[in-house]
Amino acid sequence: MKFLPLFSLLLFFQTANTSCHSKPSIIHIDFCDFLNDVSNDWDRAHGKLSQEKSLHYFIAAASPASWRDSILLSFIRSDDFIQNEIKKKYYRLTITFYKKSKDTDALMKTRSSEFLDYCQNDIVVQYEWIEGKILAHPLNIQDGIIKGAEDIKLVYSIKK
Amino acid sequence: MMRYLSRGILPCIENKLINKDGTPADDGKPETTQNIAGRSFSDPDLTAAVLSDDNFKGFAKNLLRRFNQELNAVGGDLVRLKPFTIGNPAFNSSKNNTDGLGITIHGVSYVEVHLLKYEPGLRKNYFVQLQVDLYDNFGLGAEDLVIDNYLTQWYKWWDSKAFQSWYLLQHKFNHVPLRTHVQLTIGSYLNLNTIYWKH
Repeated sequence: MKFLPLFSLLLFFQTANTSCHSKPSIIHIDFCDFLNDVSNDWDRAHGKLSQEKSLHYFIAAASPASWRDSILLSFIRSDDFIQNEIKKKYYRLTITFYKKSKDTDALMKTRSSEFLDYCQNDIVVQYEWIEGKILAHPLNIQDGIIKGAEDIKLVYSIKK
Repeated sequence: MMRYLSRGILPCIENKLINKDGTPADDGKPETTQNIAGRSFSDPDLTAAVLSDDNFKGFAKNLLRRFNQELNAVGGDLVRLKPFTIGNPAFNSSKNNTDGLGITIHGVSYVEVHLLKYEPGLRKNYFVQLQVDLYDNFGLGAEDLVIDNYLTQWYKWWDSKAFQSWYLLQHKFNHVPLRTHVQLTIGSYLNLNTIYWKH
């Protein structure tokens, strides 16, 4: 009997340890997916059809540890729907992951794609496949700006 | 309350549409609220406010970054450049609740982007200028009446009658909202391989 408290303690630590590394719940925002024709004149002249497909996913966890590349890539590899979409070799396939915020909560609650624009600042990363091949560097996005683009010097003018 | 929330921008717009006594502004022909409605509305003050907004700056930088990526993918050949999609900008930051952009625009209905200028330089440097047209309707959708959080959206509760009247006028009494149009050009010196202009 004297081992029982020790056993309970071990069980507690094991459970706590598992919960720290448990996979976050990732939900497909399927009502925001779209498929566009992006053929240009050159494509049409050569009888080629170029399509762009966009998939959106919501990470239902507040911790930044939940959107590490390793976790998200493991999710992508294990998700049958995404794997089937990759096999279709669209000209461009993008998968966007959104973190939890008041705007993404409103999006999930209303299930209206109109709210997607309000969630631009909640994008954490975007993966892209061009004709079935994943781009070497995912687009990491912070506060709505793609990392590496924040120092672009803008030249403005307003039409009077 | 609406004047407080929109200080800076809405009064500029309002002064161009409505006289101080509440009658519609005269621009040479008799006006009624019905024939003001549905008209396209542009204003330099509104455009300047959009240009200085952080969300719009983020949108502009992402747009140029994506343009550069797509141009790189087709080896810098503009003829083979494919259309691409990026999300519309939205004026929904906490700052926009009080600077007027939250009331006057908030979500943008659609955006058109046209290539105005492309000047290639040495070592794959180039200058690009894009014309960006943001279109929105100065109206309320059903979602604008929903209060998700009373702490951050207290103004909707405070001015609920104004919001409800605005919604009813638009959706039940055929007062078509103004079509807000913000036109501006953005440009940058970029490099096909590294984004930034290479010296």
